Amino acid sequence: MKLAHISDLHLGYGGAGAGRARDVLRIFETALARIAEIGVELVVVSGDVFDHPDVTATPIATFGRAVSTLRERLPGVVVAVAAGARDTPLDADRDGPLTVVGSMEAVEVASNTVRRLSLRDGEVSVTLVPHRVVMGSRALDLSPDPDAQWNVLVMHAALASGRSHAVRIPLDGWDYVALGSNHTHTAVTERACYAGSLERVGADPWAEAATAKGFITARLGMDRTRSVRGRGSGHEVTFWPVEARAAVSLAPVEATGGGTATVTRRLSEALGGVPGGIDGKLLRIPVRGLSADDLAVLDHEVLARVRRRVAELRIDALPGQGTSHGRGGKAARRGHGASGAGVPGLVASAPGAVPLGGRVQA
Amino acid sequence: MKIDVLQAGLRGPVLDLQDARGLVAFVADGGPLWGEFMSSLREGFTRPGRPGGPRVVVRAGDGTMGVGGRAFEEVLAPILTAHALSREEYAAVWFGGGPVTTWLSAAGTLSQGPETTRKVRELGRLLAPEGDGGSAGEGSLDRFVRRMIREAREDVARLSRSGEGVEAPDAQLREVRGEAAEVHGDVEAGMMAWVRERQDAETRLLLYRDRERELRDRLKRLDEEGDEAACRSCGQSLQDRAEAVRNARREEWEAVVQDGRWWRRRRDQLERKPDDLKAIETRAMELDNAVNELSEELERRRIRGLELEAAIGRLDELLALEARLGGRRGSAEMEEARAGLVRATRERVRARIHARVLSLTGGRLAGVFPALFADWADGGRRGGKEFAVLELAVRIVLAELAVEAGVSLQSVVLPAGLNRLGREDVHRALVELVRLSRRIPLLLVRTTHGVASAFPECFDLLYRVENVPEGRRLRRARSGLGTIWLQVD
Repeated sequence: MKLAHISDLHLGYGGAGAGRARDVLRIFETALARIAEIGVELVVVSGDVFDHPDVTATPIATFGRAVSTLRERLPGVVVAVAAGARDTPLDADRDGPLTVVGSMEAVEVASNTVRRLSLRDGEVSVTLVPHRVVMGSRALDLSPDPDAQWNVLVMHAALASGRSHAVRIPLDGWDYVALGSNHTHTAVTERACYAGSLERVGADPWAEAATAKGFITARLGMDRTRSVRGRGSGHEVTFWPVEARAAVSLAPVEATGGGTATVTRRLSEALGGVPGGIDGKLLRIPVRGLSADDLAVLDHEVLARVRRRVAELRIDALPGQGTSHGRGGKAARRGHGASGAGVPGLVASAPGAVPLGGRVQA
Repeated sequence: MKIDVLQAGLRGPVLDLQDARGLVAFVADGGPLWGEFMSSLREGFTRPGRPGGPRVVVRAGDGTMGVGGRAFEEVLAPILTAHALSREEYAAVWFGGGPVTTWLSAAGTLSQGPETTRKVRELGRLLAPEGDGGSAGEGSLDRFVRRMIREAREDVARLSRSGEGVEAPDAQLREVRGEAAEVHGDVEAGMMAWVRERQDAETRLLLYRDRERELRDRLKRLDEEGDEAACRSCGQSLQDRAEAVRNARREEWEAVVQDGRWWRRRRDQLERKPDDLKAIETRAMELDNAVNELSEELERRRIRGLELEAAIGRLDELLALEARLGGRRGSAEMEEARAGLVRATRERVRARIHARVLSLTGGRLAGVFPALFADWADGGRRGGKEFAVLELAVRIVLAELAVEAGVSLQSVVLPAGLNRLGREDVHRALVELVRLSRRIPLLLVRTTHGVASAFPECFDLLYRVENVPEGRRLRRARSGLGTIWLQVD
């Protein structure tokens, strides 16, 4: 029994840069094509299929088209979706975009209540727990189907830091727990994983610049003794990276002690040092110690050109060395500080260039 | 002071915020209700002592009190004095009251600290034509400068005496954090190992029990059937080999029972959490506490460092002024000094607002910020996304400055902003507000249905207006993500 786990697709994401809306659609289609190549019997989606409940027709159509193509290549495959926070309208009596998706052939959706699907003549049981149920429950009675050979749990929820207000989920008896909401791929246990988002769709894509994006496949073991399931029992969880938009965050460009000319030179050096160049990437440039007026000049003269080359540009103004944005002192007023000798360089780069064929064992 | 209850007008709906925490949204796509709440708050605050107004209740310490009432004024007065804030400036920080100039003046006051603020104000009074300075003449200015220098020196000496650098606790904090991360890793690994071992013991015990049962049955059959018992491999009767087979099986059974007992003891032993794991967990808790304590200490020292930096800067300015005055003391020089202090503060505040505008827009407004800020600071509150971003940035900066200055601020209201931002900026703004809500217990914002449903994970609580036959009603709903606790044992 092999399944694929994808999550946090955010179809309909607008993004702040050129082509970002297209990115999430493209990467979703790419991921499903890759899943078709691998060959699975079930695809589970742990929420946030859409970026918000009021998406336009384009992302819904993209979802339908990609699933249809998947079914042509893998007849009999089932796509099971548990609604995430972003898929769920504020009003419980209002239909969200998942209602449309749920009417598609071979797509099963849980939006407002827990749903249990029985597949392969009862051999596989898939329990879908939507966001609204997790939010509305302090105690949720979720137990695996004792008659099924394999039990899969799909839900969109965050791991609590304490037990107090969290819904307790005993893992015993579940062969795989597909979790959504965390955009970074995380194996919580051998059998409970966050797949992470397929694209960098957070407010700060650079925060996850160094993490690979992708999906998971899980081959569920044959050993029926749950207590010894794990290594050697045939249970195998694999993370498959996809080529998400590359994000690059430069080390702070020092302006303290120099003017716009100095910053321009240092910035050019830093940009020239980005492996593979900056074109089409998500680029973050922190500038330290440059006044608002000088940064405006830099924006007109240099950054505007950079902005045209990248998919998204973020500029951050950092206070100069030895100064603070709070109560300033002598150094702040006189513009003294470090010499600005720090060599600009790359501090984080996305592994966006990982070839699609690559495999990372979870 | 945390807002507990807001009433719209005298008989309007009540916004009950008593147990509201975090980023809380008032969700409405229009309608007058939010304006009525804000009007109640503004009137209660700006017209103290007026009886019979709408209910605006705040919590301070263990008690609750009506805004504008005597108890409220008794709590507010020492806060204003301690931070040299005017009532209008406090309103600007608390709920965005007053004009742009008051917002900036509040930011300046919080940025430069109460001592400098008082001295700048005193200097301003002395220099005013109708103020003390005009009548007191040059002698009074001279005395004033000397007194300011003496006080600044005392401040520097007092703050330097403590000699508390941030390097040591910073390094210690890094070290403890590193150790805590390692120990938490050990706890996790220990927990996994314990669970695995326990499961392993349980499994082996079950296997031994099965084997024991199987051997017991076999022995029973051998005893019952005697020499006629059949061989399990070839099916023929054992005959004279029966005794040897029985002995071999009995030995095997005894060995299995012996090993099974060992695994049962092992399983029982592993039922309880191992002592070494408990010790690591205790150590992890100790380290977490140490991290918290060191973080607080570091924050305290940083604030002290900033105060020292400000005092040194003030002393520098005053000594320079005294040197410049040297024999030709005049109000022009004094005015220059005062203007210098004010200018430096404004520049600091502007730089901070600039950084926040950039973070809210991803740097999109870097090129237009100087003109935008100049227009706005001129007193123009205008429509448009850019001004909305700027105003939100100023409100966030005001709240941050207040928290850093230690102003007792348990709640902040953002009356506008989110509903006027462009979609590309809303998410970044919400992330900033979530961050701010970790420093201020209650952050009440006004937003639209579209924003609340598009970014549910950012809000903790929503209040939505419902029109019912009896009038308007507020419906409260939890927001955010559902949380789970995965139980591995």
